[in-house]
Amino acid sequence: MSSLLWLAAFPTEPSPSATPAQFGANVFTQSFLLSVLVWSPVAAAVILSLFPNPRGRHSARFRAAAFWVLAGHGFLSLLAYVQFQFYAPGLQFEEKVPWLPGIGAVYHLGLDGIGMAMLLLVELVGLAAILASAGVRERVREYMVLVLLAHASMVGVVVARDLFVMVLFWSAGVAPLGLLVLGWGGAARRRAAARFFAYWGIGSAAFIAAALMLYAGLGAVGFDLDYVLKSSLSPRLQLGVGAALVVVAATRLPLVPFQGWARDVLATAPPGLIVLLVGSASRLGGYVLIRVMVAGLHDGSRLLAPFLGALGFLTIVYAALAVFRARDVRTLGAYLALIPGGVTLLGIAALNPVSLDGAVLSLFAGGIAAAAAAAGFATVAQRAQSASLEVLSGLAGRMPVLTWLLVVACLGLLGVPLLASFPAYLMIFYGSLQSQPAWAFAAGLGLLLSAASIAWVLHRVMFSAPNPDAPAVLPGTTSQTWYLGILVGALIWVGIAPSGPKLGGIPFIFDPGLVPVVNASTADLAAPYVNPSPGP
Amino acid sequence: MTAWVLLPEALVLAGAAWTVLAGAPRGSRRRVPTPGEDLDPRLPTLVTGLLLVALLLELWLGGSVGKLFGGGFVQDRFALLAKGAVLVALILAVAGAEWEEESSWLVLPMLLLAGLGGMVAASATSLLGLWAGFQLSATAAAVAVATRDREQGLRLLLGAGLSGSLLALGFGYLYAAAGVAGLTELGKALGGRITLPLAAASVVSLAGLALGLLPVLLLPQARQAYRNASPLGAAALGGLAAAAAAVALTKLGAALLGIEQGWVPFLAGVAALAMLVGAVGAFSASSPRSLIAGLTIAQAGWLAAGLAAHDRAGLAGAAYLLAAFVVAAVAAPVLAGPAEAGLNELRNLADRQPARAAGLGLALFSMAGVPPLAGFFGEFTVGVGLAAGHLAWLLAVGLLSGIICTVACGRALRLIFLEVVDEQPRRRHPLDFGSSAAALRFAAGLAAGFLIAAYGLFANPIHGLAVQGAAALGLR
Repeated sequence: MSSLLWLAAFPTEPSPSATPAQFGANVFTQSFLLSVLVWSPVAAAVILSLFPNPRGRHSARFRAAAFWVLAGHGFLSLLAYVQFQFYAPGLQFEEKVPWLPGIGAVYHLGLDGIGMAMLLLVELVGLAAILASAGVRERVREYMVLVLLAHASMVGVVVARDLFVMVLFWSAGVAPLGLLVLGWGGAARRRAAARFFAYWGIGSAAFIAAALMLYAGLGAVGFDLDYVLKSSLSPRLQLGVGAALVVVAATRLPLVPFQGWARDVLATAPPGLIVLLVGSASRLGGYVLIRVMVAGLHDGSRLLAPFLGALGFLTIVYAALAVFRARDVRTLGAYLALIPGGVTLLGIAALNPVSLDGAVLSLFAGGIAAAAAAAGFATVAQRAQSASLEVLSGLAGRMPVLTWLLVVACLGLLGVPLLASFPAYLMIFYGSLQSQPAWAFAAGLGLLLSAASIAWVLHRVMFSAPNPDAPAVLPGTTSQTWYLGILVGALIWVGIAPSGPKLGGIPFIFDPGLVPVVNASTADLAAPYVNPSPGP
Repeated sequence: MTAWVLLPEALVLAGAAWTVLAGAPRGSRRRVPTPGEDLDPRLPTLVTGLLLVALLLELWLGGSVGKLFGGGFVQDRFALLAKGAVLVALILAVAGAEWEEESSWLVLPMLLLAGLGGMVAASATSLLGLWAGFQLSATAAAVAVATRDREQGLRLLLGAGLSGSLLALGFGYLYAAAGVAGLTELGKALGGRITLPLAAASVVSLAGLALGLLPVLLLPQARQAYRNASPLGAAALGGLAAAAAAVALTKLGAALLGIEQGWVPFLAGVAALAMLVGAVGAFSASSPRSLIAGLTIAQAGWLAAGLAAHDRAGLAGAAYLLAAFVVAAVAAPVLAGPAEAGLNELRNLADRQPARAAGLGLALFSMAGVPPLAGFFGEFTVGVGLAAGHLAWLLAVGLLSGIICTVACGRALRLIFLEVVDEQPRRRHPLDFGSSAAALRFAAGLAAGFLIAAYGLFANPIHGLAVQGAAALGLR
């Protein structure tokens, strides 16, 4: 927070924007905001790790410290969101410093509309993850340090504008998240952590390989995305790099057939970690696909589009069918969390402005909905003292608040109106019916199947007759309500006002609207697909 | 350039001689102590101070470029980088060692001599200088191992002799073929042709160096010796001797760049083998030392891969990785301690000795190539060389090795940091160390962790130095 006060002390220039000045506008006139966002959690983690925590005596303080660090972060990001210039071309809050000149790597950070939406997602999810981690009792210091490091790596991926920097932060997140699984997972944590390291390691290796292929293919000049994305590559190389990037995305989102880690990890991880993994870390897979493949590999994207559509459809259908086979609510939540990834991929496969708008918005909305659903089911299992579907039934009466929050989260997975996923799914299906009609139709059927599976699950676990032999339900905690409330609240807020709340057509409070912010960048992104350059 | 530039080497040599003569002053100060006597507790602190002075002098005086002794000694950017890295590693080893665990004070002078060998090779301008530096380092490391396990040490000496002989044989052939022994003149004299004797000479020389770089891989006895060695013995063998071999290999590789690439497949094969064998060894490790051995071999494989890229980018990457490698490969066994009872001995280390745990954890992850640590930066720059040099298959092997090594490290990291269930209250203030040796160990752990974590932060100057070093070696 001291950095904020310091920033606020600087004299500011009037905004060139035509929109009326809002609270927080023009606070950032210096170009180190993104570095502050990336490195302050790392600094906080180092400081926290220096303090002893004998017999967990100071656990509450460590928890509070991590919360306030991320709350301060959220506030800074919100100010950046308010200050974001919708119609200004190019990057904002840009920083560019040579890092490894010998190989052309540059410490290049910047935000466009897509990055802004992802930054908000990462910050929101980070805060919710800390709240959801209130149940962690052992080694709280270490837990919070790892969460802060993982958070920093995710912010780094979002704001990176150099492939080397992006790969660095991408891979740097694997170790803290894997150690969180290994240290705080349930009985099957070792197997889960091994699979996690293996799948995410494959993703990281594929990303490094893709970056180096691009580097070598472009004459070993550098990794800066400003250069890489504007260069012309042979279709063959584009296809190779694109395929590697699909593997990168598939291991994270996750997509069939790289979904193996999700079942094991989400079935054993604590709710806070599930929020972090599903809400933001996984969504970065789709983000990288949009940021690198769609933005720079136009021929490769066109060639791979039908394949991506098929992958999206398969993921949705697999998730819907696997739910019926699940034997416990945690595994079931893990399968449900796959659905938004499949829909996002369909939006990317369509490759037109509307569908890409929807794909970015679905990363935000789908991330929140999937995190709320998967972590919500884990919380249900914790409170009900059992995860088995044989035991759990009729819990709505015993945990009404949790039930309704979970219902909204599950509806968010399906893109129901008034929730943030609705405009996202609407744009995706509208766009994909134009360019990928077969896969759009198939994915629509898959979503219907998903709706049936969700209805079956909610009826069985929440709204059927209570099981008299089930263990007693533990009382809920405030933090459980808060973390789910924040996620579901964001889902509803963006769903009601995707373009920001307006009074007489004028934005009247802090939210300028997520859709216009995203739209500021997707138009440029989709332009090569709308107006293909004439052939030779 | 003046002869003052030799001061760092002179200080290291003086330190070795001094520790031999004054090593065990608990008894009489007027006689040379016998192995087995206790080390004077003040000696490690004094040697650390001496090495710090040597490092500062290297950074200050080493910036000048030139030759001494009629061209027999060279100080260039590559020498500065390599000698700086060796001195940093020596400081961490001497300061971080638990001297009570060492079976003999003799390990200290041997450690210094192993480091000196690397420094000599870094400043060598001829085949003879390379051979001398490498042989000194390998022999000193073997003796350091022998301080705990005499039989294994003797076998290791045999290995060092074998690799030295191969190297001498290869160098002899090269000299015979080219008519000159100077590294700069060698490539020109060979004239870009590759003949059968020349190919044989190159392969034999490289085999000798590879044997030195990867002793733990190529000799089962050496693997056993590494596991049984004292922490400093292991640091000398796996870190300093391997670094000396890597330095010699880099300089020889640069000299042979002018001729055809006949030996590249050989080196690429050795690199791939090392990466895979190291990764599998780390994955199946049941003790910290086995884990470190595996990781060391895997990263040595990356070093060889950088040389196999056969161009400036790859060699600059290898030089950049060399600094990260030598620091981590020396620090890891020292910080892990003897740990003879298996991986479980690391349990709860973070609570008992937090600085040591942090240093060890970061060193392990660095050797596995986990970002954003030193090893990742080095391996990525090597990867750039491989991609540019059309060795995609070797890059793929390296990435696979990295994944396996990361999984292998996860287990150790869990034991070190995440196995603390009942956190005991500290009996004394965290900064109350009890003794100066413990304070030194704390500082060494912190310094190792900081260097490994901040390597990327200083990537620009260090990699710049590596690129200039590659240019100084006359690479394309």
